[in-house]
Amino acid sequence: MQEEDEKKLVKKALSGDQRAFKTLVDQYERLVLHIVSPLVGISQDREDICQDVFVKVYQGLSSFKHNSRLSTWIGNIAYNTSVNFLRKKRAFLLDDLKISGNENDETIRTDIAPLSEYSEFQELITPEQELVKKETRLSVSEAIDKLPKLHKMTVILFHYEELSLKEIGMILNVPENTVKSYLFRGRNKLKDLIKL
Amino acid sequence: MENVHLTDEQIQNYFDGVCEANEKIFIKGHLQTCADCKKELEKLTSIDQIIKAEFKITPLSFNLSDKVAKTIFKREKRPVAIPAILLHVLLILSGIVGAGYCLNLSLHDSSIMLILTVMLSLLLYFFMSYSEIRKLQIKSKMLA
Repeated sequence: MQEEDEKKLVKKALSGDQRAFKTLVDQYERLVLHIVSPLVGISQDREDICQDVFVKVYQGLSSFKHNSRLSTWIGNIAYNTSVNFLRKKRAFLLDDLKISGNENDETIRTDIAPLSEYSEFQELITPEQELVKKETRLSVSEAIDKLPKLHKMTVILFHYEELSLKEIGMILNVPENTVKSYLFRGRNKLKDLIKL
Repeated sequence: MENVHLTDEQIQNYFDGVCEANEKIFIKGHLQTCADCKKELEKLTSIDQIIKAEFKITPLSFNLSDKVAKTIFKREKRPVAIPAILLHVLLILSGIVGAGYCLNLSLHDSSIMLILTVMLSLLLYFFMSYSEIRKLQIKSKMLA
């Protein structure tokens, strides 16, 4: 969406135009899904978080000063809402870590505090990773699903949403180099998984 | 020198368009002569194309914009309407009691006057369209 259109839409939504706000939600629903789903998984929680994200967007819209793109701002709200949710659900996070794996990536573990507390479980995923390598070619969706959460999200945001490294960094509250590292690791693993 | 390949990082930086101008020229030159590195770059292009073409995420089971709008605009109604009605009724009551006291009316007359005024006020209140109230509210919110 062009910056001018974005500004018009925000202005209309702020004046109480329900239809304009709904257009805004429709416009950014996919982006929010691409941020929330890799972190939270496909569940009822994901649906609640997506709603919560847009309620927060509405509440904070008057403070949005167009210093960044609207997509980056909404993406950051989606990311923070998901991370806060995960922090509250430590048990869920632990289960998920066992399933999705988390490589030896220091940067990831410093981003979401609870992950660092379960680093000992990294060893548990090795056999599964080995098994994955032996499987036949996976579909791209299946392969992406096997990536660690932040790698998965970065790959989707970069390749599918076509966001820049800088924009992804702003969404995840991390420097550009960290995003590069996520992308590097994510793509290398993808190459193996889809047998390129 | 011919056997030295580009690193994965160099290839990915080149693909992502984030390498320095000098390095870009160097990598471009190398790719023209090295089939292995070119193949690595093609893998990245394939990943990009496959993701764009095949990746699908499970959609939500409901219409998000409808649901969010319903939540937000329903939430907004409550703080607007209820305090407004209460304030209105309170003002009328205090006005009537005050007027009755000043005019030294009997309890019976005061009660009839009270009931009639409340009914009239409520009727007036409901005649005011909801959208008008909302517009006033949004304006005052924005000014605040």
